[in-house]
Amino acid sequence: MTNRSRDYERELSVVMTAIAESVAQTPADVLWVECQEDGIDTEAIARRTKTILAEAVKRQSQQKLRQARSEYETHVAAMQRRVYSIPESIQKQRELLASVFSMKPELRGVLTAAARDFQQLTDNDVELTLKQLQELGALDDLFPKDNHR
Amino acid sequence: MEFTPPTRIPAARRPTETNVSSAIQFLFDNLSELHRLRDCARFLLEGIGRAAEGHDPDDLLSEAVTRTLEGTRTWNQTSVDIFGHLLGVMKSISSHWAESVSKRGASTYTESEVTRVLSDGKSVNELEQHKSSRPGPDRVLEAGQQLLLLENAFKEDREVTELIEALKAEFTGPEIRTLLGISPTEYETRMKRLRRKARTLSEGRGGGHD
Repeated sequence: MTNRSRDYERELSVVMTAIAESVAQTPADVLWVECQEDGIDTEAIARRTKTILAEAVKRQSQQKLRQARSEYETHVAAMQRRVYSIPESIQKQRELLASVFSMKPELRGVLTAAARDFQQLTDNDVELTLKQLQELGALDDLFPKDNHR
Repeated sequence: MEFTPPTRIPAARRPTETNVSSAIQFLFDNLSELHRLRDCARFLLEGIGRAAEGHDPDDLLSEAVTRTLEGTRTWNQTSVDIFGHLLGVMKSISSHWAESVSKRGASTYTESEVTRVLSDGKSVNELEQHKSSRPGPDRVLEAGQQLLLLENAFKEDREVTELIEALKAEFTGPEIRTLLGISPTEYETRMKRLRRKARTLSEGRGGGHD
């Protein structure tokens, strides 16, 4: 005679999962009435569920905002660190930009058509252009890593 | 009852955040659909017994919604509606909770209780040697009690008893109808009696709501 012990956990799981499936296949309005007939306050339960889910949705959207803000702050901090890699004197900035364009003429595309006359670039233009080139990573191979803060 | 997990979908057809949010908003606007989802969550938690560890149906449903919104569970809109998707996610989560508790159960013993000294003097941790996902005896006992309570509730109802036996044997709905020679309507009638009693017993245990 075989003494077959029962796997109660498995049996409970399959039965309850089947019941959950039957709930899923029952029209919502039919189930609503069924539960009310059994004395369950369906309206109160559903409203409570709605409140809880709304809080979960709100937490999730706040989490996304926090994440986006964190990424933005990291990016700004990185930009600020990169700025320090540019020489302070405008003369050295101009020399740097000239040598960059000499070594990498394709980078002249960063400049607008009007600004491609290098001699016509203002001091601010020179500094801004160098910052843009750094942002693009175009100057990474020109600066040793320890130049960044 | 078989559940087919969604297949991987190309990036171009993945749901946008807008239509996931819209679908969830649809649920918010339909209390009866919310209630139905929550009722599913109730029974999935009943199915894992003490492994639910105090989580209630709202926790399970909330977790499923969160994972869908954050993208860790992708909704395959072409093959299932938002209800079906959340049901699948809840099944997965509750199953994972049950598994996690089973694995954790092994660490509640003291080392001396599970250490065996071999003939050569070496010590062996039996749990490390024979890791098992089998639940602890208290959980098994409670699952047994829960199941026997449900079965006893139908000891005078041969039709539902037959249904329970077929479900325990993991036959699908169509297979059960064929096995028992019953129509879809009769199957649904029996299933309705089963779930109403299961729900009542759950309410009696304080399950389903605070």
